[in-house]
Amino acid sequence: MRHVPALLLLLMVAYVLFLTMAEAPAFGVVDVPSRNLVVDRYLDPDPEETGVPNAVARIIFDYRAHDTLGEATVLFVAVGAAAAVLVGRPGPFATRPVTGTDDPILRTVARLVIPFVQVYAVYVITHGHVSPGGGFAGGTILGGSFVLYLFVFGPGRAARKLSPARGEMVEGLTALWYILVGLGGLLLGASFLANAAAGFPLGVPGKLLSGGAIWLIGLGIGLKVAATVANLFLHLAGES
Amino acid sequence: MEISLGLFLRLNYLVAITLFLIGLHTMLTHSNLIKKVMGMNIMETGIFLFLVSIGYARQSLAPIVDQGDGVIYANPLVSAIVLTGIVIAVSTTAYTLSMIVKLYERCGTLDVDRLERLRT
Amino acid sequence: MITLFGVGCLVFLVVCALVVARTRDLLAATVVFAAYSLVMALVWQQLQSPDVAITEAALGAGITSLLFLLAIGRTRRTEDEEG
Repeated sequence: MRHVPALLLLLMVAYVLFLTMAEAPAFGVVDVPSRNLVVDRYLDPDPEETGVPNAVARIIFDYRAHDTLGEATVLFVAVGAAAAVLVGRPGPFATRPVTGTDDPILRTVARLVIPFVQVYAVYVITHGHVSPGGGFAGGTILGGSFVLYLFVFGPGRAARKLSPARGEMVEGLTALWYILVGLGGLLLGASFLANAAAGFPLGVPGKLLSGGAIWLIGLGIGLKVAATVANLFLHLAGES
Repeated sequence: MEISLGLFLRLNYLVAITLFLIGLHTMLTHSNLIKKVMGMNIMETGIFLFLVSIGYARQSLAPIVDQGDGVIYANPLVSAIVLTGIVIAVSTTAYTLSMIVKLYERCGTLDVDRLERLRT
Repeated sequence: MITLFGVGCLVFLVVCALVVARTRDLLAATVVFAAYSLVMALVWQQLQSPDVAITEAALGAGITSLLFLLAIGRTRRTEDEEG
């Protein structure tokens, strides 16, 4: 039985996890240890500190914008590494990459659907500070519309819409944009990636053009994620 | 009776642990590399389910703070962490799968045991 | 969250995970995995985390499934290796 060590390990992990669960507070209780002073600060009903009502956007693009810069870098590096692995001479067992389809139904439906998907993506990106969504989700949807085009019309035509070189340029420029917004905080006399403390105009909370640096960074992240997704799928489909 | 009620009140945690264990089992016992990556993704969603369940409170609202005072919101910190986690999970999946594709092009197999034998 | 719908979603999650773990056809596993991610997005919404829900629906159900689909397209479809 070659699975015996694996099952033993599994039993050990299960024992520890169930022990932890037995000690955990019951589901749905308000006063759990994770709900502390910091969370109250994040959920401050008066949005003068950040200027946006969405508490998750506050954390991601303002209070912990440094972490998001690191996260965006991880995405950048991972997709760059994937592209670096995939380019180069194909091995002896290489199979036919994606070629697209001639099916008229798929082509017509894709033509009809893609504009609506893109409008929705722009909506999600630009309203990330007042409603759920934001740069990561909206950017993925925008990239997803490109992936739909790639699957239906083939990687050759998709690369003519957005070549890998141009995608990489968008990726690099939006990463630079994030850092420039952060340096803007430094230039205005506050810390790196500061928002209200640096004097970015916050606007009226709840309106579209509000939130200062949060809105600017969200826009950059949306474009960056879209370019990253498009590039990744171009490389995986064998178009480099 | 008491134990079953306690388990039912912690159903989310129970499901999170079950998903984690199913993913771990898939990673440990399957020899196909793509299946291992699927197991990794299931493990990750199990962890995310546990985190988000901690942030939920009964009668809480989504953390869009525009309802005035006296309202309980779900914990936004775990949402932010899980959001980061999902993006990192997709990054690792993309990188791992591209390496697997390249490995298949070179060796013609996705089976860990066969790859082990190819080396010798 | 402790509603019949919520409990049904959680049970569906476990069943989907088991099916992904057991099936030998990788393409079928990918389709079930996409359904799993979509129901996961429903669970996030039930847990009052709409930001996570919308991200999971786009990244987990969309991009991850498409990544598996492309990887299977460039390698092989079944888990068993007989030829």
